[in-house]
Amino acid sequence: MNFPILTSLIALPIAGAVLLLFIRDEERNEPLIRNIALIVSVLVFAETLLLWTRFNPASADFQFVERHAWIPAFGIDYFVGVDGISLLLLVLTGFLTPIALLSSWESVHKRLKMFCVFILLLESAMMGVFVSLDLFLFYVFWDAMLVPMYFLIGIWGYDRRIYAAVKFILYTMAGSVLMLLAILGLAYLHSQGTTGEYTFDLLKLYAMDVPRSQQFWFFLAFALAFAIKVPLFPFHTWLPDAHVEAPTAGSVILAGVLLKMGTYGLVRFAFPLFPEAASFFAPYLAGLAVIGIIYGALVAMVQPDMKKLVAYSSVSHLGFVVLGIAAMNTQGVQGAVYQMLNHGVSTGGLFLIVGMLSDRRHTRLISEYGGLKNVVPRLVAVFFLITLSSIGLPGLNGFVGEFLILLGAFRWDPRLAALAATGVILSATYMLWMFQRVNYGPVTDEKNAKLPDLQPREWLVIAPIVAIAILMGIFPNLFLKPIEPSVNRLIGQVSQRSSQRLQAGNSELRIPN
Amino acid sequence: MSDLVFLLPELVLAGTALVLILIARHVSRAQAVAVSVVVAAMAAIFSGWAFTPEAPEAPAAMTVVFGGTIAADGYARFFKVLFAATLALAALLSVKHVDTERVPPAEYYALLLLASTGMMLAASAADLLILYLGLELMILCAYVLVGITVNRPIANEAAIKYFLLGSFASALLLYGIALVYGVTGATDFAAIASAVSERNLTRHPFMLAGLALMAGGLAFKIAAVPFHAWAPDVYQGASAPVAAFLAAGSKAAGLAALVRVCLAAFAPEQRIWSEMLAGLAVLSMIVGSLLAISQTNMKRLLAYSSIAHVGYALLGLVTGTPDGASATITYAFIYSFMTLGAFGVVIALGERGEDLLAYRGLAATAPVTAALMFLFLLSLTGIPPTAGFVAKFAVILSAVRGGHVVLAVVAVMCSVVSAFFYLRVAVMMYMMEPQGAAPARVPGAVAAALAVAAFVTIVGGILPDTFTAWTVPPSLGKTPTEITRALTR
Amino acid sequence: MVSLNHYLVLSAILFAIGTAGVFVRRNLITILLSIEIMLNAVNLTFVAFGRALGAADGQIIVFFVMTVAAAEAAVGLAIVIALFRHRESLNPDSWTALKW
Repeated sequence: MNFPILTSLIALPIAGAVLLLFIRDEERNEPLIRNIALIVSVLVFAETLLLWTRFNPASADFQFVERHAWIPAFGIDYFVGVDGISLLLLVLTGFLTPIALLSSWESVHKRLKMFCVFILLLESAMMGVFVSLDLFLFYVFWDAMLVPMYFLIGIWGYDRRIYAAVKFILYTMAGSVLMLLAILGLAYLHSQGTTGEYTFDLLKLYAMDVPRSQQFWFFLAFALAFAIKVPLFPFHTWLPDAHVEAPTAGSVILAGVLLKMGTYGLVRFAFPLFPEAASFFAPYLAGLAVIGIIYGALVAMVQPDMKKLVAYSSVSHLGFVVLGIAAMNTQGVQGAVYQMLNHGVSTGGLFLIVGMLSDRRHTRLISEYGGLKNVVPRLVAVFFLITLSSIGLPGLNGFVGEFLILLGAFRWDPRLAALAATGVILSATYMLWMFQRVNYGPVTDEKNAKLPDLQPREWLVIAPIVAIAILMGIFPNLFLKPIEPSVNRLIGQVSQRSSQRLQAGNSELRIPN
Repeated sequence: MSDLVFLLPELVLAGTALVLILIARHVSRAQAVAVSVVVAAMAAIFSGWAFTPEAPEAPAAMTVVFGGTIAADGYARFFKVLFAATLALAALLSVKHVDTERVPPAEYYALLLLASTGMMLAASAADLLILYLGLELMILCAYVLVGITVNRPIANEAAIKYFLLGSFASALLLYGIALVYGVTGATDFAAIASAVSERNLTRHPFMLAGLALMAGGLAFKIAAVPFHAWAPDVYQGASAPVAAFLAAGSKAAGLAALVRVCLAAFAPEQRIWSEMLAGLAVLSMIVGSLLAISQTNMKRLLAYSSIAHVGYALLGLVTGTPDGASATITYAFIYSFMTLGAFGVVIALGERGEDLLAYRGLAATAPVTAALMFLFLLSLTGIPPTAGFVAKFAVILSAVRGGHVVLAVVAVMCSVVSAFFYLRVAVMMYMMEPQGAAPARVPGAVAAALAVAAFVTIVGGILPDTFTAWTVPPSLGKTPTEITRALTR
Repeated sequence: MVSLNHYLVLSAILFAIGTAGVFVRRNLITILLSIEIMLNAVNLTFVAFGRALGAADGQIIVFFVMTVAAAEAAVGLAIVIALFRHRESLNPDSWTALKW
């Protein structure tokens, strides 16, 4: 147990990236570069699986904790640990990275070495975000992650890639700098307390009683940063641009993991750190989430571009996640965490399929396709399964998450649940309509008549996704079991602290002037 | 005699400068001179380590020598090491320029050495007169350095602008000193502070006028808005190594002087100068960030960025506490290395380094140079895990704890704006097609300087606590806060 | 009877004249002279304060300031000469290579 497994999750991809730097970026080295990157990412995935098997699902505490003093003057530690909420997100990150690498096997040749280096650095930063239990450390990873993603979009993207990359980084930075201020404010508040010391230690800050007027601002700053990342309506406008312009691997990681950092941040930081402000703002958050669910679905419906359609469907799906979090009951949050995983799998899968189609035809417009069913039957079969998983058909993964979230939301506020449920119907409409236009009917364009079906490499990319989608649909308890204790602890933490205040006679949260 | 050992760094540099002037006629190549300057800078650093004053009672207390005019404390040591390092890097960066521009090498390097001597004196001054003399020694050498390429009209123009505005600002500073002297009857910091608090002079009109005039004069040295107009012109007109030296060294020297004067001499007036500095900081951050957006010349862009950075650096001092001031000196330290690095890349690219458009596709033709530039830009933006992030973190934290939340919000907003123009360079380097041939090989001296700057930028981001250990003997203070605390004792 | 205040007022007026000269005059040599006037106004302040306080500090400082002013004038005139070689003009408005 003494092996620092979480540190190795962060360090291994960096080591791989450094190793790659010593290889010359020449054409004959291409297979070597790809293989090193792939092997490293598979090793990391294996490590996350190992972590899962060693993880004690009955415990709600942080496990595999490591702590070393880093900047003692400010009470900053290198402090990492994992609980049920972050465990499966780590596994998801480990799972999607090799898939993203494999998906770019044919399509990326330009500056391949840098591409692999950036993917590995990105993986390392994502792991870091999910395991950090020190707010400073968390912020370091949170911001450091922007850089590789910026390059992935900006160098290997499509036509308007520079615009999309700059928009992505400026939007995200604008949100995160305010969060930095709130983090500093928290540490300062702690230094005003009994110990008089600065600390960025999450567990100590959980235990701290933040005055309500400050909670209000801190929560807003944190929530803004996370809402931009999620992205919650109306902060979503960077997402379609980033997704459309990003290369397939970038889209997979962006949709699969990066967006989850926003919702993860809400669960891990914003709600438990500021429980009273959270309960005050939860209805507003939920309102925005429901608007996002419906708005995203409606906009997705009229998109001519498949990638943009999937991007807007992300806005809609992540609205569900935020709704579940805002409900703050067991079903809601469990469903939200589950839905984070689902969305990673099914939207990642959809981006892969769109990528495969656009590799073949060099267009992503729905109108350019039609009648693919008879041309590439296997590809269409896989496409169909993933579409169903994204819609949330019972028996596939999407259903479990959405069902739990709606259940949780219904217990909290039936009206919101009812509105959100229309999103489920809408999502079936736009996804199936898109599927129909692409795959059914006669082959209208001659270029579509001779497309090759799935290659062995593509099978390797897409089969794990399909397998996971089915597994998560049939055996949800396998995944829900480790989540549950941590979720219950979280809810206890949030409700207990806000009810303590209720008993003290300060029932309403006043807005400071 | 024993007091002289505390001035050894200054003596080494000034002595080397005098020797260089004596043998100037026999020197034709820059390389040998540059090496001797680097050796002198190293000697200055180590002579500082060898003779550390015993701190008898409280550790890290302020020790004054030469009848109370020179301070031999951790603060002075911290900046002396910084200035010696700046000098060494600038000397390395200059080698090629001195040869190609046909500048007389010995005289050029002698001026660099004397300017660094002035910076060190300004940082260790415990008396307003020494402070003035140190800053004048620095800036007089700087005027000449800016205009040393006499055949380039643009350099002459930059030099005269620098000279006129600089002399004007020096006159303001001096008038401020005169008024303070008139009210308190003293020029050494400790006596001023005790006179002000004992005789209750905080609101004396001469005192206020003197404070405002001195703040103006020092704000010019650090190029804070509204005393910034010279910086873009001078950085653009001067040759790149000189601009690098000024951006790092003269700015840090101005900050060093400002922090010491504020904390040691004018501690009783803290509220007044805090407000003045807050105004300077906000204006500098906003104006610097906004005007940098439209620049097309790399040196001009870095000039506006330096204006914005001085605004961030002042955030620490605005709080008026030793803790806040420690953030400011940390910022000065880290900023010096990252700006030297950024200018170093401009120098490494030669002629094309100045034009922003020439950076297009640099990553394809010169990947290592582009990666270094990107590292320095990240650090200037303040993105972890670079030293620039740690520096910005420290100043913003001190602004928050000082209750200056508005300043902190302005600072983070400006750093988002600055991300825009720094990343524009990254966009050009990495996301656009190459223009023209690959740049020539980077000279060894420049490469060495870039390596040092990059090392500090990375290590400073990952292990930020190490700097103090490198610069200051433990008996003079183990952390920046201990160093600045000694100023107020 | 000439009091300290008379000296201070005179030096303030001189300083103001110098400041105005720097901004108003359009000839480099005149601007340099204006800066000299500013420095000498400060010198007058130092001497007057020194005498009023009964201490020698003020007078001693003046010697240092005079030395610095001499060095400054030397550097300034050297730059002016280098510039004049290129431009044949002493009017600051004729410098256009750098935006202000």
